[in-house]
Amino acid sequence: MSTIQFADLEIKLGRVERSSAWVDWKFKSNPNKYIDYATFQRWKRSEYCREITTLSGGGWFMSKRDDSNFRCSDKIWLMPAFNYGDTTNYIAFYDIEYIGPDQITPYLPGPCVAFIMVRYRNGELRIASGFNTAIGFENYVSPDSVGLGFVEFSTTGSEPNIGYKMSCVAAPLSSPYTNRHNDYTINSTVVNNWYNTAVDMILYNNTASLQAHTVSEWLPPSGVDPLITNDPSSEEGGIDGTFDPYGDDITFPDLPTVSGVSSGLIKIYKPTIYELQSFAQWLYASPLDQSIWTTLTKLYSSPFDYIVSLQLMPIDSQAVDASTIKLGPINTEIQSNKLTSQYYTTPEYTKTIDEYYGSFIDYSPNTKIMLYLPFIGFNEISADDAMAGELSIKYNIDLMTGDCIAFVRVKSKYTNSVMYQYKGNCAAQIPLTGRDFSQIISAGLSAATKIGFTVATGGGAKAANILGSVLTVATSKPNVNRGGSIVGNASHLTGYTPYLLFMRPAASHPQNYERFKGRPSNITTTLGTLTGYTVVDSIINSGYSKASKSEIDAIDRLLREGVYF
Amino acid sequence: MVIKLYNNMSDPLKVGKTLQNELSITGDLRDKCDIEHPSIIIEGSAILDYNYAYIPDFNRYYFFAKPPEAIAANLMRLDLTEDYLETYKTEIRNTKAIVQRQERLFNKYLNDDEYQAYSYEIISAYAFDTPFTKASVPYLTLLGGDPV
Repeated sequence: MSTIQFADLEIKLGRVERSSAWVDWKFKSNPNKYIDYATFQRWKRSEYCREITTLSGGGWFMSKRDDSNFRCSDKIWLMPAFNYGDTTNYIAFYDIEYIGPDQITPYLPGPCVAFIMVRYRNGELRIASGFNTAIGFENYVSPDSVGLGFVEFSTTGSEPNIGYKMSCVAAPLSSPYTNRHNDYTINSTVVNNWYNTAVDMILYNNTASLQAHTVSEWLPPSGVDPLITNDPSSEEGGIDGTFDPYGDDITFPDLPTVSGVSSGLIKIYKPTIYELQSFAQWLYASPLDQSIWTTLTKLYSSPFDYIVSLQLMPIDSQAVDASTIKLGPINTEIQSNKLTSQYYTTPEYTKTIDEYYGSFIDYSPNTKIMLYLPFIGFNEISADDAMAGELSIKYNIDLMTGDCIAFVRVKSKYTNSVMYQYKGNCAAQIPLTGRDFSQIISAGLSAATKIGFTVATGGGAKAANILGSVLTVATSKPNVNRGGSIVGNASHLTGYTPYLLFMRPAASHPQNYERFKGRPSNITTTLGTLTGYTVVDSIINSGYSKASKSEIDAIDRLLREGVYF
Repeated sequence: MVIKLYNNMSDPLKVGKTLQNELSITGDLRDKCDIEHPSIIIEGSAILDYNYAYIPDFNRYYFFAKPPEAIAANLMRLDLTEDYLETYKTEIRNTKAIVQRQERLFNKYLNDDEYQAYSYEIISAYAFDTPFTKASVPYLTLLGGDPV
């Protein structure tokens, strides 16, 4: 079992945003023992800033969670919290990091490690790492793994969990913690507040290694305010605006309340195969009962003309009433469920879109996302829209036509709205009438006038006329939208499972990349506050009271080409 | 003139270098001395063990522009080039600037043109649960009013 000493870590200041953070750290004892950024795939931004206001605890915590109850999932969420209900002082991530499993165990599975530094936006600069530090992946916990946590304890008054001391311990993640997000027992004490389990976990079995370090070791360099490094309002001459990105959430649309079924003119049945066969036997009975025939042909030339459509659809969940099949005015007495609505909406299905790299590479144009939707096909989803958020799909379906609209809702940092919608058709048409039902009424009325007259005047020709009518319609199929029907039928041969295809660049990240090349920063700061490789973009070379023009030019050139502080 | 010699252990681009083994010697300037690139005549070969210099009279730090050159018996010429970053390190550190790239204070969500990627892609598929059933369900739509 290996351990990691807090004092041996050199922490790099990281990206700071309301709900995202990065950190870079390395070992002082061995600079070549560097952190592999591939591990960052396990981190992602959280968009739950607002939800967290309901928490009563202070500080920050990170955890994996699922949507419902903070139980384990395959990802880690970084979540901000507010200090004891003081929602005006929101806390932002300052620095957080995950040590790759190579530091702990040879290969995954291995634990993750957290380091949390936060400060208050409008308060005295201080670090207040939350007591809610959850560590590890449940699936990755093994008895010989090592966890590392940084926990702060109270020195500042009544708040029990805010203070100036920061501690680091290493502890074995032994078997009592494999279910740590559920209730478990430590030293005969049942722990049922999982928020605190990480602390418990850290302290358990290894309190002797607890080390305290002053916060000043980990403060950012003097003059650096990482919280506002990319906030344009923080700089003189910055742009003005509300900087409030939260708009309205656009939810999935509701189904129409009035449909063709509710008109009473059309009925949609969902028969079983047996019921459908019974209906076919009734329909093809020869000769058809004279009174039925007479009734049916008063309006149309054939009983088939009353059939708007017979379709197969991969949908089996909608409200139905027990009924009997009614063909026009005729009750066939054949049992079948009848739909109470022409429209059907599917459940909502959601996938969380995690950042793979946790960097610009996860966004367009670098990463592409294709969404396959059954009965619709492939469509591209902007990685900028979906990354680090959730993608939910839902179909609204017209059961009379098979037409469907797939809605794609994106839950991202600032919105939770329907951002895409696509049209398709999920019906496999079974040809019965041979006519496009969209024209059934007008065409039917015309035919009924002519053929109906024939039938009415020559009873012996009825059967021939029926066959002739079906044959005529079946062979001519005027105005049938063949493409639509073919597409609908063919679509039944494709997959019914929606899925996402991610096409990501395979990034090549040389070791110590930041040390040699740095990374984009775009902050305004005093250069003396920096450490490490630095390339200056814009600079005002003032204060050189003794330097010549050539010397200032040389300094300017060197700073723009890159120097080390 | 006094010349302080050092072993510079830092990268030439380092602001605030680690200088070791200071040795003060004297030397004579050559004619037409360029203060940014002075050339100095020094007696002895002690300078061969050093690579960095500070001239108090100029209040400037210098790299050895090239290895000292023996110009006569026990006489060497030392060509220096100014280390602007060390000479003006205080002024540089007090300078405020927009930083383009930084080793520690950076934002990974800013596009990095320097970042390399392999020519192949990482393609991954993630499936939703399906809202559809594999069993095809018949739906029969009929024109029909109230039965007679």
